[in-house]
Amino acid sequence: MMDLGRMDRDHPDRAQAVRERDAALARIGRLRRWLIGGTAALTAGAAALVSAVAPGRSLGAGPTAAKTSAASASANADATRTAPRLPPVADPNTLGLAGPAQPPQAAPQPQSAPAPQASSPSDQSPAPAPPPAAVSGGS
Amino acid sequence: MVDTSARFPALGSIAVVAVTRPDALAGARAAVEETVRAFDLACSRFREDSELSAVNAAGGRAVRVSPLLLEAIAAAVRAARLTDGDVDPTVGAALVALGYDRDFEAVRGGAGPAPGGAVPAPGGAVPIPGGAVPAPGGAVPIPGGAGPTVSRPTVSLAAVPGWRAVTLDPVAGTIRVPRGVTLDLGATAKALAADRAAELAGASADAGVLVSLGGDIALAGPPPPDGWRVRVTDDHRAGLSAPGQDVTLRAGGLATSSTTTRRWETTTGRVHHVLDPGTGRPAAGVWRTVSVSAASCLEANIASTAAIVRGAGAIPWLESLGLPSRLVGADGAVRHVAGWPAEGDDLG
Repeated sequence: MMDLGRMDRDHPDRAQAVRERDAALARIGRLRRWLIGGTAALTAGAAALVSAVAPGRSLGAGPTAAKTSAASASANADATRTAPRLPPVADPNTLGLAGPAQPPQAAPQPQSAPAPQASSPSDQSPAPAPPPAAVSGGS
Repeated sequence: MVDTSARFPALGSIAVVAVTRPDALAGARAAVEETVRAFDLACSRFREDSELSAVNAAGGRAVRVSPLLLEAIAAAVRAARLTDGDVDPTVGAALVALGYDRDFEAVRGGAGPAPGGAVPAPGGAVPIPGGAVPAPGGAVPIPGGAGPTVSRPTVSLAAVPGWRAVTLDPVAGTIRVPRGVTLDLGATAKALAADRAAELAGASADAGVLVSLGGDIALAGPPPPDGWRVRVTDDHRAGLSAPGQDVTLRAGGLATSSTTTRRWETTTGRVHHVLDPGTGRPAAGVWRTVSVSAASCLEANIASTAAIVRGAGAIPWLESLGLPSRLVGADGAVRHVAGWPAEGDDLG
């Protein structure tokens, strides 16, 4: 650290020069901070403006790209007209494996048919359970 | 007695159509047969004239396909995505390498490899370490058997490229698979066909309809008052009294995957058709049979196939999805998850 008091006494011109130099450096530092801040603010503002004016565009979306996109859209439209019918778009419930609306129930045990001599209209047993309609097993 | 159901061969298995009104049976059966024909022509890996065969033989070029095949492949890719690749349509080359290169009846009957079949996939197939010595034409005697020589495929392994290799363009209606990749839709196409057949049959017959294609069951329309009674067991060809459980269904679909069916002899022993895409080998046998109920037959089939591949991890997975399921272990022990009914289970 320089002793400016002593320097003022011994070399008044030199001390003055040092103060001027420090003041100039301080001004340059302030100017640089302002420039950086200003540049950032301008960039942000420009980006916000472009996003608002042309959303979804990129720098590559020039006239050629736009023309290609239009041709592609036209081709897609043609393809859609001639393409085979597609399965319906899946709803969220079908994106995973979905359980049954009603789970399987235990089937009633088959009933033995009552002996003919024991049967009467008043004490008939329930009708025997029907046989299975199908067998689910490996194939 | 008036029939309310019909059985007939379809897609290498047995189809069943049942209706709630007898007069609706003929129309429902016709609708199912039409759907089955369309799916077979579009999705069969074993028909040279199928669209799928054209896609597999295109050598990496995009192929314009029908909406039906587009939907079937989209469903298969979705299945792979939902199961983290446990149900993957690109297992075709791995199945071919294991000898499943033609209609299964021919594989089981040992009719010898199909022309151009049972050939290691380009760049992907390697012999199984310790495998038997390849025999010309794959013909080897059955160990301990006194009968005639039976053709059995020489086993090799092929890497499964993974479903991300499939490029599907729904706008252009094209499918592209890289050269050497073979799609197999066996895990999902039959279930999708059952769903579509039930929808078409229900609409055309204006009645409640049950459609079973190889044991993959789809329902449409109003069910009978007591629901559809279905026997759940290892093999859909088994009789109604086969060990298992009867349940009633009212909506959605039910699918069963099993390692007890579609098994065939190879030079290294018996293998089955449910492959683990991670290894290219048949899935380890934690579960021999898994049945799942879901909103559709396709959903149920995706889950049941993935459960076989996932092994012990299948139970928490099915629980987390809330899919009522019945899992039969290799030892016969039965587990029920997510609300599958327990009563009446006598399979052991």
